[in-house]
Amino acid sequence: MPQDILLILVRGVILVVVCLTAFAYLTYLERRVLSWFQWRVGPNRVGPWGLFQPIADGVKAILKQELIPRRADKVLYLIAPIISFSAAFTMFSLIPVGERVFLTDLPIAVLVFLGLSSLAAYGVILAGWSSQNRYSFMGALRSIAQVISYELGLGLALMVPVMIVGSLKITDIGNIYRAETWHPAYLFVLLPAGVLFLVSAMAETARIPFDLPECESELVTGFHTEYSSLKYAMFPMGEYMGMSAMCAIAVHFFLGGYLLPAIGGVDLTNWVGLIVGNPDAVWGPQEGYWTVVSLSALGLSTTLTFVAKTLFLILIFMWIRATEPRFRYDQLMQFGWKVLLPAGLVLVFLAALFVVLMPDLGGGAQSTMEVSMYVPR
Amino acid sequence: MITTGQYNWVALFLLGGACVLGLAFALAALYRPAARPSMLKRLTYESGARALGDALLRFNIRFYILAIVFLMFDVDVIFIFPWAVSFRLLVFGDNNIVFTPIGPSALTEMFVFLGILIIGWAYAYRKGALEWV
Repeated sequence: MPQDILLILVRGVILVVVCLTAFAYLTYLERRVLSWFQWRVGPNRVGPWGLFQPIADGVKAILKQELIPRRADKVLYLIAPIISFSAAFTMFSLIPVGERVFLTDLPIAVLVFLGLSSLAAYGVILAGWSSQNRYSFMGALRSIAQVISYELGLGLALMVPVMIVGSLKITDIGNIYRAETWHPAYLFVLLPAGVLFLVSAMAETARIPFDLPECESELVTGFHTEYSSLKYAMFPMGEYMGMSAMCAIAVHFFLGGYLLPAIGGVDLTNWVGLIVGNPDAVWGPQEGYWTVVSLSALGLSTTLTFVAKTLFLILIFMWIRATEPRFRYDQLMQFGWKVLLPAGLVLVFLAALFVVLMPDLGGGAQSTMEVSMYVPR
Repeated sequence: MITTGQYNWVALFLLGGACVLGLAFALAALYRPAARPSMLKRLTYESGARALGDALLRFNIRFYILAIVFLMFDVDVIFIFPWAVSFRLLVFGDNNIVFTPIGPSALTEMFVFLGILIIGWAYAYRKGALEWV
């Protein structure tokens, strides 16, 4: 038992450290990628290729003078960035990153994820309301309207794989992408659902074609106009975390999760298992050095695959940011309510028909064999 | 089972993230130069002009209407989720669980429910609740 606690603690600490470093460098990556798109150099002065830029930014954010507006509601003003950050941060405790590499694999992970993604909106709303600034207040109003509109599309898009699999557990849903259970017919429902999810996720995290809550040409910077120093830095941080969490969930639900690609009927995930050891032996009751080696090789390769896929989606988000102009507010709301919501409902209909017409598909999540296989020892 | 422990982890992340951030704010306050901002700096920023009146403006009625329409569909989504998770079970049953499947009526009943909601959506559409001009 002490070893178990130690192991889980180590996993947690690794996850936290990796997450925080990754987000600092995500800002660097975004600045570099955007500057490539816009034919300029981007940050390249601090350290080799500007690699120490995020550290310099962090130090600067800490050293800046802190301004709290005179009329602000101090308690809510302080709580808002904390909510925004920790809600986005908690999403990462839900997401498995590799074969048998996860902190938690909740049976209700999808619901917790949706809950956290709407909790993040509270940070924005409280920030805008408590600063007692008109720009912030308008930004907060826009933000709440936008988030609640696109939350529906998000929930309906996630419902499609949930219906097909019949489980809210992330690894269960990832199982339909294994070479043994995959079927091309899935594409008919999962592809449109994936597109719907990505568009809604972009709006939910207020990325650029949908960044109305903070559009700088109308509202200074929107809800965080009155924030400064470290408190200001937490809002972009929360936004990046939210974006990466959305991308990670999209990878799990629509891009095959952490599984290596299966090319021409050859499932690379099983290959890795075969090269380093029999997967049955790995998941069986045997203990020992070989089990650890094969587990870690499988875990490492799947984790790297997962990170690569997530990064791919994040780069697509950055690409869209670099190329698309911002929506007008009425276009944004009409798109959400008149296009995405009916599209989501139609997709739920389609998924229901799919389940009825294709009774053999679905990854078999409800058989007890699969469940016991993924409960960590 | 490790399942209950897993929920503790999610709670720990939520609280731990908040505590770490609170600590970071406190440490940053100790570390940064201690100059207190002057009164002028602490005024509300409104593009350089002096801020007049309160920030809590009257805002557009559409936000309320939107909230009401949202409430309808959010409750709808909450109702659909349990059905969506158990849909396969409802239609086909499961060999490992003692459960009598109700067959295709699981589909038709939900279609009726969703149909009523879509009528509501169409009504809101016709009444112009979804318009932003």
